Amino acid sequence: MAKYPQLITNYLDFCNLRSQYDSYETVDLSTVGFYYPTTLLPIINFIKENSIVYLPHYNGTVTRYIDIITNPQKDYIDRVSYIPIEQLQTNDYSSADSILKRIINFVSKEYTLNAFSYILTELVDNIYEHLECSNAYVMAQKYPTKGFIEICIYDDGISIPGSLSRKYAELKEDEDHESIAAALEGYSVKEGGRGHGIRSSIRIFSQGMNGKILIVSRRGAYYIHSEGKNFYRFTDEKLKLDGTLISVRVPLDIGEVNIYEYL
Amino acid sequence: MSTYKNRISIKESISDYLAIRSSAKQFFNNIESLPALEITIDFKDVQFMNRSFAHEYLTQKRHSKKRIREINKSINIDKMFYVVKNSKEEKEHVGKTHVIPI
Repeated sequence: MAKYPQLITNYLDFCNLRSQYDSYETVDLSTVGFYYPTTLLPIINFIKENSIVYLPHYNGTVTRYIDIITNPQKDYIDRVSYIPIEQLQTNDYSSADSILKRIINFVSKEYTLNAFSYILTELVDNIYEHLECSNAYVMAQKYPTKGFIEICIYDDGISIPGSLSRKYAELKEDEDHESIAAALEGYSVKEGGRGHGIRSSIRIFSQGMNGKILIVSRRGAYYIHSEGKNFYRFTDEKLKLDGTLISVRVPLDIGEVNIYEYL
Repeated sequence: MSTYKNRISIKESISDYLAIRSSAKQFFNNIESLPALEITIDFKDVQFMNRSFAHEYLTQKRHSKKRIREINKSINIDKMFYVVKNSKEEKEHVGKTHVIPI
């Protein structure tokens, strides 16, 4: 079996869970031993959107964790290590403000505020500007023992290839990784001067913060870290994502990051 | 929108975190509806502004019929405006050497 980066295998875990529904009309959460946001966020959305009766995890701790993450608490206590799944109101961008501040406060002890604020806000702004979604969600989890934070943003919109193909007919439907590349290179359906935010965000994350980023959109994916990058082309239709998922994983022990070096 | 002698607090109008492009567009739509020809935008207590917001702000300002000036900008706000004003339009090559089929 091919060895993929962990963020990719976490996404594949989600796809395997989702495909259970096609075969058995249910989802057995016990088939995944440990839930990272990259797996949990899209599968919870899938379960809710399809009103699926699912089999809970055999491990009570995991079941309790999933229950906490999927029921947003309005009052967080300081020692809490997560942001539960929050929905961004895609018809009201002002709702993003409180969620963004909550996440920025969540990471404020570990990171230079400007670096994380910049990246997070650029990713969320991208949802409102381009992806025409009905639902968008975000969650975050700190792993102090493992030494990183993972943040996952997912939307069920038209996807990056879906958006760009409206303007750039040369982008082929079976080469969705090309569309992701085009978006990262600055191609946009909007007027000039676009694309800088997402590109600089990826530079800051991967180079400045030694982070790992996964972007999945329709039948393509992009994975980048400080030592390299890969594009993925999904040949199996079961891996297709209706929308866009972005996961970022950042070490906890980085120092000050001057974002202006990367802008 | 909070105004005082044609001075508008952008923090009160939008947020102390300026992050969403559409909020900049809406902000300027509201400004254009004001009777005053000169508007002062007060950036006091703004904690953060991302690049997308700065780009939209400057784009809207360029097209505005008002004379607009900014006050109380922090160093980081100034820096972000500077970065946007000096950005090049060219596309950046990402490279797709490694494409892995799954």
